[in-house]
Amino acid sequence: MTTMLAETSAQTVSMEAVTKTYGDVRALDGITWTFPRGGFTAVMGPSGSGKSTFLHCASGLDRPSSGTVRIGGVDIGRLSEAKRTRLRRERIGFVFQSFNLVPSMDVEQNILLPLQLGGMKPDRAWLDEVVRRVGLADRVRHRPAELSGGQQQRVALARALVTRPDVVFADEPTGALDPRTAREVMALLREVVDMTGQTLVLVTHDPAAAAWADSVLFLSRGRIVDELAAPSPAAIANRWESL
Amino acid sequence: MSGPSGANKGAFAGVFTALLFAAALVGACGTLVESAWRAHAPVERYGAATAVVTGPQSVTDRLRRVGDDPEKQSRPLTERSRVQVAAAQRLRTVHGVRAVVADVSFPVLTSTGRTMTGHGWDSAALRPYKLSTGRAPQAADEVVVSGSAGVRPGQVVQMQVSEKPRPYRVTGLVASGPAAAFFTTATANALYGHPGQADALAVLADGSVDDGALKTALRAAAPGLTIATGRARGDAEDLSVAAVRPDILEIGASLGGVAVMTALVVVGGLIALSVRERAREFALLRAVGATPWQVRWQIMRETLAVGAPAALLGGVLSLGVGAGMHRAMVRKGVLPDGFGLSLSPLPVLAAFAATLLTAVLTALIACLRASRIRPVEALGEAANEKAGLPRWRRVTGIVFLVLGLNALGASTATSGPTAAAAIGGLVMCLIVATALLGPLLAGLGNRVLGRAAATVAPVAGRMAQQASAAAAVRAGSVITPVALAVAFAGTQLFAQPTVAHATTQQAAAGIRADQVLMSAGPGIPSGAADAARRVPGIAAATPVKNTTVVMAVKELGEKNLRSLPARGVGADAGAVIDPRVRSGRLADLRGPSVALSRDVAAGLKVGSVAPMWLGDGTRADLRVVAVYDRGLGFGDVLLPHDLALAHSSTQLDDQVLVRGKADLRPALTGYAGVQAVDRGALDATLSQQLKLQGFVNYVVVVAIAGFIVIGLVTTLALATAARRRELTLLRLVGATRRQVLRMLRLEAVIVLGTGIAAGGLIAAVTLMAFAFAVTGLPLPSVSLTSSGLVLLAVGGSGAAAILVPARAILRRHASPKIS
Repeated sequence: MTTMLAETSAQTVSMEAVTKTYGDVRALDGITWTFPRGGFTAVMGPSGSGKSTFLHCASGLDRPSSGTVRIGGVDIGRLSEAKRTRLRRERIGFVFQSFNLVPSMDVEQNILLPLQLGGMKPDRAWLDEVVRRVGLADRVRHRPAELSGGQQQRVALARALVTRPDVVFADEPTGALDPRTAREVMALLREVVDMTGQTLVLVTHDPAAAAWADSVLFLSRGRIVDELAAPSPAAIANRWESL
Repeated sequence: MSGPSGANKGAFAGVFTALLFAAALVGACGTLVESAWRAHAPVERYGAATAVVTGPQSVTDRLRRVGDDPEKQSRPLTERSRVQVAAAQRLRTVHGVRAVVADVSFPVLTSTGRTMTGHGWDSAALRPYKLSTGRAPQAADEVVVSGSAGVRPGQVVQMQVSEKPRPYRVTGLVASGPAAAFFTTATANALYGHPGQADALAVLADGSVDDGALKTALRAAAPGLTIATGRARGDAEDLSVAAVRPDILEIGASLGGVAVMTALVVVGGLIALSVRERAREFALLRAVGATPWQVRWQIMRETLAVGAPAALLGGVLSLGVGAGMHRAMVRKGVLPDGFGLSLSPLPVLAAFAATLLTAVLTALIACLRASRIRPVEALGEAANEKAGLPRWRRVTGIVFLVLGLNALGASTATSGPTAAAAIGGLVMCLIVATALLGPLLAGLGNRVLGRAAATVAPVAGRMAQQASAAAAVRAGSVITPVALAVAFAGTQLFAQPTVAHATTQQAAAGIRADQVLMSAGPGIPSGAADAARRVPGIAAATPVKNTTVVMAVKELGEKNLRSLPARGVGADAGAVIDPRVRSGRLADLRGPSVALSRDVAAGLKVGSVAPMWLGDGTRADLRVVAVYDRGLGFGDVLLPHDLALAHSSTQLDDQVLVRGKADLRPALTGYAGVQAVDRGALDATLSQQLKLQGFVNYVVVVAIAGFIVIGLVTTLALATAARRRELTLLRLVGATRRQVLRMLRLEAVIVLGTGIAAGGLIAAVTLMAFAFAVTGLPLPSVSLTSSGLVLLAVGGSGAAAILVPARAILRRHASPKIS
């Protein structure tokens, strides 16, 4: 068990007694969690539960007030802003709710952005694979304004995957989409996890989206209050009601 | 990464325009500076002379500096420093010298009203002037003149030098060259009036030694004298170009500096605005792995990509602008005719480098804070504008405000040049403080003007108040250029008229003469004053000789070498001028003595000794006999007439001030070109001179204020276009087009009003301090028309820049859509 834990934490994200305070407010209150490798975890919680702060700390966008966050085995609490950025660039992928893409760049440029920022040469075969997988092979020269909301999220997902990150964080990726497009995007996320073994963390308050995950974490007042494995939308909605 | 596009095009177009303008201005100033650097009067009469030996043409002194090495300062002379003819003996012995001519020059007025310069016939070889007809002068009353004088050989002409005109017989004509009259050497020396001295010793070489070696040898043979070769020989002929050079260097450098400062403010505001506009984009870049420096480099690269072509184009255009400025200044008489234009790639390169450096520097400053944007902000819903002002900005702003107030204190506690220097610092400090504290000012303006707007128009006014309060930082970057434009134009436009007004007032109040003798030619012979004085009913007739003295004047605690306007006045000066003597007596102005205005007297009191250099560079320790108030009207220095005359290029007076109303015409019949006019004509000459000084001012105001207005318009247009979403949202939630436009109009009133009020306040404080320093009363001469024009230009272009894009956003018949 110990060896397995070490192996897992070396490659994904682990949090140990993490707290984050803003003034007097404790947004995170002693979170300890390791995301299983190859797993699809949803994080749910009502507004003010610390959901966003959880995402910021777990992904290395922000530093915890106390406790340790390790990304790929590296303690981010000791890293400078620039080093943290570099670590994030190599190990973490992001999909946001909206304003995911740089409007002046075409689809391919947007996807390659993290590699370009890191000064790395793109792996053409992998790029084609990613583009094909998200279903944008015929759109690589389009600009974001010429794409639908669902297509834009696919570009964002391709960008998140192109660096072969340890973990992809998706922050309400379906929040701005209609139910049908949302379903398509969630199905794509699920497919990516199943086909490539990508570790994925989804932050959402939508039970329908969370139901695509292997397990759901419930946050309340900065603490993990429950975990549901292989949940159904009904079970999630039920647990949600009681928070 | 791809270049700028879409929404940023506006910002980059603005940055391009501003940098183009900056480069053109800096390059034009550079052209002026380079021209001044290289300018020599044209070589006319000394064309054949290899070298010209003169006395020193400038005064140099080492001035003590607190905690520093002494500073060497130098001022050009405005009168000739003569050389001893005896020195020519040693020069003749130098190997390679064929001949040395002791050259003398003096103005000659013919009875036909033509002015020419008189010389000895041996000076003709220096150009050389060749006889086209007739022969050289041999007798004391013979003369050779230029053909342009319109006389024929054998004719007798009346010529006036320093006394009444005398008849001379024309023996020959010379064809080309500047108008000249050649007398026998003996006659010329007698007319010149300085026995044993000459203006210059011109060296004609025999060609056996190269010029460089000859110059070295001459220097050894003439220690302490100035040896001019090549183009520098022109300055030995004509002092006027060398005399204005330092001033033009100073004007060019300071104008260039102001242009760079303005570019910093204008471009800085534009870049800050566009960075704020793109905050989400940068936050996204940060989130997907761009380090803060990568974002900063991108912003700087983008600025550079826009700035480089702008700076290059502006630099090239600057040659034309510089040439135009030079031409206008020559035409307006600000520059002497001989002041040539030098065009070279140097100013272009300087403008290119300075502008690019400014652009990158501003971009860096503007994005230092912005690219610290935390990547988490990309996840947020909307990019809210930060309300708080960073501490460093607050602290620096307050420091500049305190410095400004300190300068205000210094300017009111002192007077004259000290005060003027303090006031330059005052404007700069206040403007920088405004730029730094802009958002605070915006908040203050919003509270005052916003409340008024809300009272006038309850719905639109309140909306305007809220909008401008919410965007205090944005409003701050709009207020700064508005305040800058108003403050700059105000101080620049009205400072000079304040001086001009004070000058004419002081002169009007202090001149007690009933009549003034003026000359249509080079000046008034000294006998004219005596002749006027002998007329019954004339109480006093005082000759006035205008000259310049160089003196170390204390400014802001440090002594600087200054050229001060000085007048030599006759013994009965007290009867015709009243410079408002504070202490001492004007009547004591005899022998080695001086009267000083309080502006330059500083620590000097009646009885103390004032060290100075007279017009020809002679060092003199003069006893202070009086200190007076009206330094503007009568010059900062009054000298005894004979002292001023002895150290001037010519023996002619500039004016004779006469007390008494008797008809002077009979007494003056003998003199050519001298006429008595009433004193009104004197005031007219004075105001003409002041107008010339004002010309440079207007050029500066138009250039810089125009620049600021361009920056202002682009900033405002950009700021309004950036609000497309907000304005459309207002329409969506039910505001009518009229209401939104009304809101924007009121907002324009709030924001522009705050900027104009701030700029007006800066201008008012500065001008009042300036007026107090100059006249003793805090009353600047402000023209209502000019103020109105400035306010109209700033306010009108500002309002247009807000409302035109807004109207485009809120098209009348289109239904609102948020993209």
